[in-house]
Amino acid sequence: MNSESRRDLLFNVLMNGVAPLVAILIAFAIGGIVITSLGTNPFAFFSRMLSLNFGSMRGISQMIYRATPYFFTAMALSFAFKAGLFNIGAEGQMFVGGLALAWVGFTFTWLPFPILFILCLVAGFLGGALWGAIPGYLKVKRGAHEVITTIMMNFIAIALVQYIVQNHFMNPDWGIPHTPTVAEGAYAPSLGKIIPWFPAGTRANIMFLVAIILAGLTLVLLQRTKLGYEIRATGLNPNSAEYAGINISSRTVMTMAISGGFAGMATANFILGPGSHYFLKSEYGGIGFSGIAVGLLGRNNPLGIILAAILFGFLENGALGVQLYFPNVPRQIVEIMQAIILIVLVIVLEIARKFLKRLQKRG
Amino acid sequence: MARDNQIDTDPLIRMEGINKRFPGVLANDSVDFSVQEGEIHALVGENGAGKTTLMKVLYGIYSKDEGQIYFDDKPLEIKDPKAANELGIGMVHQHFMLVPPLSVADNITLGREIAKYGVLDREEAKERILELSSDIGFEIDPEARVEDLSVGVRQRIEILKVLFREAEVLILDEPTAVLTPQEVESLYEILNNLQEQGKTIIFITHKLNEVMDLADRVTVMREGKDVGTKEVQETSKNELANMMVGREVLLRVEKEEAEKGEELIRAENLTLKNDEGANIVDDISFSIREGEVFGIAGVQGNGQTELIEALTGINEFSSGTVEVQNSDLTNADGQVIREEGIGHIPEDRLDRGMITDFTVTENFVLGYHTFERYSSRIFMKLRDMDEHAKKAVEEFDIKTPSTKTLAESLSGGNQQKLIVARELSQQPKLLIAAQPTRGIDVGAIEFVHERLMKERARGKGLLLVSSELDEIISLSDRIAVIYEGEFIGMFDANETSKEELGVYMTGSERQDKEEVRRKALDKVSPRE
Ligand SMILES: Nc1ncnc2c1ncn2[C@@H]1O[C@H](COP(=O)(O)OP(=O)(O)O)[C@@H](O)[C@H]1O
Ligand SMILES: [Mg+2]
Repeated sequence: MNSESRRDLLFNVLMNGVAPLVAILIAFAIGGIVITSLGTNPFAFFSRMLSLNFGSMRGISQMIYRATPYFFTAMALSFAFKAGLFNIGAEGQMFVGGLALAWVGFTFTWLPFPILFILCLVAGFLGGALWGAIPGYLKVKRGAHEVITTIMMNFIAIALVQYIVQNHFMNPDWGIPHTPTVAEGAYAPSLGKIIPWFPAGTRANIMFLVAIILAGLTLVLLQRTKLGYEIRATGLNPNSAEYAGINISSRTVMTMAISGGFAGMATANFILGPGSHYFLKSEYGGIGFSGIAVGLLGRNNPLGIILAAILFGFLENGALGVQLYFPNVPRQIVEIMQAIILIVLVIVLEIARKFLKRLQKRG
Repeated sequence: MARDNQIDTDPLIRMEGINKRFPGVLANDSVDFSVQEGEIHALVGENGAGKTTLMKVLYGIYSKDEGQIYFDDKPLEIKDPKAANELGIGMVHQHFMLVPPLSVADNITLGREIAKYGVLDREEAKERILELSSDIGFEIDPEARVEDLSVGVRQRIEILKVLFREAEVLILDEPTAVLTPQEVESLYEILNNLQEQGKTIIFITHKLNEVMDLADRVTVMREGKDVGTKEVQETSKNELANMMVGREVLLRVEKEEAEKGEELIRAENLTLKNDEGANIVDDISFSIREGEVFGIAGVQGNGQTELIEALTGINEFSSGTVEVQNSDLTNADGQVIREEGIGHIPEDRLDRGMITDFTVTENFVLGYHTFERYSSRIFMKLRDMDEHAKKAVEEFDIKTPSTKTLAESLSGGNQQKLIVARELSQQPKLLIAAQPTRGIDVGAIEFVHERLMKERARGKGLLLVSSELDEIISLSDRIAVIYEGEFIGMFDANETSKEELGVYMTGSERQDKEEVRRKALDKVSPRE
């Protein structure tokens, strides 16, 4: 049976290690070609990006700051995936959760830290959970496919959140529609305050640690709890789950709720972390959708997702900084590369799968 | 066991010293195999014996590691299925390879389209298909869509596909595994007709009855080796079973007299309607006592699945009552039913009975995972689960590298053993078992039967649903025949025969309704 476990290992390495790396390399290669065609030396470009991100603690913390929200939306995708569900609605869940957590933050202003901070996170989770549970409920009760409903719920959330902010919370003098600022009790401490080698006052904040803790908790939930057992059973084989007396309807709704809850906390990084401290919708657009790519690149595994989120943070943070040095390369090069990573990943995974199949056939 | 291959003169196909290795297994271990032109040759052996592998080598799907294939005494290499097709060899796989949304004709011609001036000639194709099918004795509508057709018909399409490619040698991999008894009958006819036309047929099976009914010669494989080839007329089921398993096998079950105790379950007037309002289960009543096996015989699709799934909490009855030792379990929750001591071996092991992507341990608590033994309010008791699994793996002799192995890598027989072991290790007082030995090999069948009879001897009750009449008769005490959702006959297992049950199963005869009900409820004298 040694060879069997060797085959499993090969499978793991290929699908979860080699495939994402190849996708990333190819994306950089194509990005490099585009940059060359714009008359810029790609090596200079990328090495500048590298030094901007990794050259100093400030760079690293900026990168972490950009990476953190992706982790939450990617977890939303992956958690649902474990239960056999496709939650494409992280974008909408993120907005609803974000508004909910901001509201708690500027409403219960008398509460001290960390009580208000924690309440804000709970509110973000619940807001996202509500928005995720609705498609779950529609699937269970009406058989509506969650891919369709979660996408539709995105549009509703975007419009709804915009409406609420403009008509209820916004002060016309502000110019741009945002909510009032959250109270100090809700502030997420900067990593500079917690970990000595981070620069004081960096915008990277405790939400990054929350993300890591959440990754651990998710693993425990799925692998060690009764609920996790039932969620996995439902995802892997609903018929057998039904046979086992598992209430698959309730598990489906619950999974979608937890998944949405993850997305609901994504904007805490911006709203509670060092910065403007209000909910500004236009700042978060696309983080939910990019979460899909991050989740896939991280191969639906919490550790992988943290790495993938950091890569996305790397690209985004690098893009912002590198503009100063290479003004003729548009910032959107990064979005192109993110898209290429996703497309190439899907192709490479398919090739790896075929290769493994051939290998099995040849014995 | 010594090899006793007779010298085969002038075989059409001869495979010599075939070796085929997969990681960790020698699937074919210097196998010799030969086929005469025009014969029906059965290839039998337990699951994992290497039958499919050998045929895939012959069909060019797998490349052999060593050995030689001769066709018409000429040594040659068959490097892919196309090369096999050119030699006139065709194969019908265990899992059908049809495109469901396409028509019958399109499926058959796929890859071999008939074209005139570069345009598909559908009319010509249809004619060829009608001709081919009437030649071997059945009718088919070439324009029907495959997705609307039953499994039996799909298999015929696969056969036509092979004939359309002008095959002279047909390999069928476990063709009867998916068929109902009637469909098996018509497959027999088709194969006999093919033989009359001079075709050569190799069919893989592990049902010895089929070998005796159909084949001219039979080759037995065990653990990758060929153990011998026999003329069917000169061998017996017993001999073949022993060759397959490598030891003495009991084909008949030892059924001791068991002391019948108190009534365990009493079900009355059970009815289950489908969405259209038709009665899928129609006014069924029965009771089972301790130490008693109540068999339900019937052709698949007559309501037995629905009856069992509603009894075990997966589905709900529209009306009727189920009482288990005075507690009302009508439409109770699956978990409650298990807690009351009712186990369930479902008929579909992969799509009901287990989760193939779960480990052996995780599968061992499926359905029992909420029991205090295996979980607290929030957490699973992983160590206790694993301990339980290890003990049961040992006790039930389940072949698995470890309890952490995914269930998907177990063989079918061991998967079934896992399910049986899971249910029995919870010591149910009543076990509901549907097709407990379907698709598993003689050795495993013997094992399951023995365990079930042991439970009966211990005073447990058993509700057994099976389409294998031998199994029903040899295990049961009382037998009900179900037809279109109704019990239409009740029999004492000692006083009935396969033939008698067969007549009732087709609905051609039925007993008096009140009489059936009275016997099923085990009442000596009529009510009132
Ligand atoms: N593609 C494969 N890769 C690895 N092992 C295989 C493969 N196909 C078959 N085997 C192994 O080879 C052995 C023989 O399998 P098979 O020929 O399918 O048996 P049978 O058809 O007699 O049930 C088994 O141990 C099986 O697990
Ligand atoms: Mg096989």
